[in-house]
Amino acid sequence: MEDETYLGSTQYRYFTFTPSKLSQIRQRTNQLATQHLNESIQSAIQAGDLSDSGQDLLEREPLTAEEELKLVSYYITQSVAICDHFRTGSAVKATTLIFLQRIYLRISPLQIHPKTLLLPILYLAFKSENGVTSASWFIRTAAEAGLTITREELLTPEIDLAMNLRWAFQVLHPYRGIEGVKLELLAMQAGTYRGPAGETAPPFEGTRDRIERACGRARILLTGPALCTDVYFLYTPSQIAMAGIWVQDGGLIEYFLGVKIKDEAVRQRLLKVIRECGERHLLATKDAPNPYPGLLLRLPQNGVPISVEIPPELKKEAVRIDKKLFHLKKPLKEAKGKHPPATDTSEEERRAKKRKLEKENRDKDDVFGGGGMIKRKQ
Amino acid sequence: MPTPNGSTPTVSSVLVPAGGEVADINQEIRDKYVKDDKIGEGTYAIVYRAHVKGTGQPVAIKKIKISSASEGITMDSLREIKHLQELRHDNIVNLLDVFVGKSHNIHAVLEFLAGDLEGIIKDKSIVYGTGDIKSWMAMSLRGLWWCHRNFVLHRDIKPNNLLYTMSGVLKIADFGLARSFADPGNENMTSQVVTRWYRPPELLFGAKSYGPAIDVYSLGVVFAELVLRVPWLAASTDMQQLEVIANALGTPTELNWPGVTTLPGYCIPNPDNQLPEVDLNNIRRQFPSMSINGAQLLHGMLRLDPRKRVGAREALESDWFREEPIPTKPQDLPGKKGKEEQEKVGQDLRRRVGHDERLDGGDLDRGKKVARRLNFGL
Ligand SMILES: Nc1ncnc2c1ncn2[C@@H]1O[C@H](COP(=O)(O)OP(=O)(O)OP(=O)(O)O)[C@@H](O)[C@H]1O
Ligand SMILES: [Mg+2]
Repeated sequence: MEDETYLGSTQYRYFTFTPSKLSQIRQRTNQLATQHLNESIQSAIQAGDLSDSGQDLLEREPLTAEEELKLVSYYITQSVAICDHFRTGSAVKATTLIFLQRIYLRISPLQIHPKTLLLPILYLAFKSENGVTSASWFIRTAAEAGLTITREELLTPEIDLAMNLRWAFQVLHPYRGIEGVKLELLAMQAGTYRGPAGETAPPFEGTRDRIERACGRARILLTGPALCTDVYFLYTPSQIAMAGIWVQDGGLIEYFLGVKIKDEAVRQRLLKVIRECGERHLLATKDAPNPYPGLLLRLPQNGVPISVEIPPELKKEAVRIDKKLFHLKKPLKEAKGKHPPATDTSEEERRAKKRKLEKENRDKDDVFGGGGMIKRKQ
Repeated sequence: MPTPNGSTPTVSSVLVPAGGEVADINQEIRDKYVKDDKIGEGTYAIVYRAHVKGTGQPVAIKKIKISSASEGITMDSLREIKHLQELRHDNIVNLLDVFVGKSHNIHAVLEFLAGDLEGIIKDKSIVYGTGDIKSWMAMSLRGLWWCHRNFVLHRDIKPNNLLYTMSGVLKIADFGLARSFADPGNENMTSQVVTRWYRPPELLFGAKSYGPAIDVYSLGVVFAELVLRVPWLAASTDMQQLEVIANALGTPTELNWPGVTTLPGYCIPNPDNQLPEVDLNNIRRQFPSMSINGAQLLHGMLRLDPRKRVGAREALESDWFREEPIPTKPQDLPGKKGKEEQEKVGQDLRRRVGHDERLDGGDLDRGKKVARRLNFGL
């Protein structure tokens, strides 16, 4: 059901993956960040910048990719609370949470703590959705919630956030599709629906109320808990919209697709995807068997509660992981005090060299997944 | 990510993905182009002519000025990048790349365009006819149709934002005021958009909720200007603009536009000379050189009530495009585009810049700047 406008979107080209690809990206980010951290500690040891010069610093238990995922999930729920404080409305909130998820695909909390990015990401999402008055207003509003941030802290990361989002600011939100499905269902129910060839819909056994209720609940789901899941990375907006309604009232969607899609095989295939999106993600529970064994996805089975409420277990986990993260990075903080940080030019040269070495590898192992580096038409 | 020398280490030095790929890709993109001379300057950007290092292919690089008000990335550039990233169409300027320069400015790489319709309309040494106008209109409507299909309003359609390539293909450009209308029922859009002469009556009456019909109206005014070769509805204040519209198209009233009196800025602009809405015959009298199909299209694009205006798609189905003379092929359209004339193009663009600067103190331009400023406060 997706048309060419969707296939041309950055959401499809840059941020849509298979489950295993998504998992692989997360593993790799964690691996590279861990490696980078160890390299930095090693050079600090060699430079004699550390009081504790033991090898044991390098043998500490690293932050795992699972822990990173949980930590980011925790900050997603924090971000929901901040959005509520700002009274952002659905569009800005949904964009904020998706920006946060997209950014932490290739950035590790080992490099930068999610808490420092929550407000800059929200600010960028506000701008992207046309909704911010000014930076001063933003800083004031944040302060009312006890969140202090300077203008510099707010604006400095912006260009880098944009770059990490690959200059793609548009997020296609599935909740927007619910209204369209609802209107069509209501027309079908009222007998006023006409298909593209003028055909009518078979009678619908049900009340307007049934349609309104299912669609209303679907909207709540898709503007809330669904934003804490991986569905945006795995499914198309219309699949998610229909899955959102399907989990409320499966019969409605089956009827709807029966009217819209005549080809039985095509319809069954789509229904299967919708059911999968609903069962495995929107309705996922901790105790159900993991449908993606071994993959690093945002699932209750992986210890990532899918809810905007912060469950006490996650909070406890987040505190533990936060501490671990702090201790892992502590030697570097100490080293920084003694040794001026590498200048930007040398950092750039270092990367230029590394880039040459890695280029071939990278071309093979497409780090951006999805549509990869799209060759644009000249 | 380089930071300006001498500054304290900022977030940007760590907000690089674990493997450094994004920063590396940024530099690769940057290294791909060679900047040549400056060809123009707008409100928020300086435009350079540039070329691809390997192939010599000409491109335009738009270097975004850093906002002095320190609001971070300006809304104009954010909107332009956001929408051009998604809108890939033959009649919409192609955004080839985005990168961050050494000085931390954002650079948008666009396909190189040879000139714009304003230049053609004003250059009295250029002779063009109905087939040419038809071709420009068809290409503009196709581009506009694609914007609207992707839920994007351009909000600044005017001759100088309709550019063309060296092979004559028209491209809608300058998406600095564009916005999405995907969220239905948005009642809080600014009416301070579109350069005054091309601004539709609903915006002049302060409508807070509007749709694709605003762009269709603007393009209708461009259509008239292409025929007349002088700006058609030129006024120097918003109030005068309404009066000029009322005299040319009729006085907006409940009769021809149900609900218009509820718009926040509604007034009767020409109380001493109230006129009914123009009909086809009246349009034909104002544009005697036009065929009946042409006049019908123009009339349809300029209806007072936005609900009665044709859509871009419907406009494209007009018989006017099918009758003689048929639309000129792009490569046969007038306008400078030959290789040997490229140098001249550069000069013309520069001249136009000078001209724009003179207008700077004028009302038209000021109106536009105000519009842009207010728009940030959405
Ligand atoms: N892709 C392009 N190829 C060639 N010239 C271009 C291109 N894009 C813009 N220009 C030229 O560069 C100049 C500046 O363009 P820009 O869009 O930044 O501002 P503008 O539209 O002139 O002004 P404003 O920002 O006030 O709307 C214009 O004269 C325009 O003709
Ligand atoms: Mg312009």
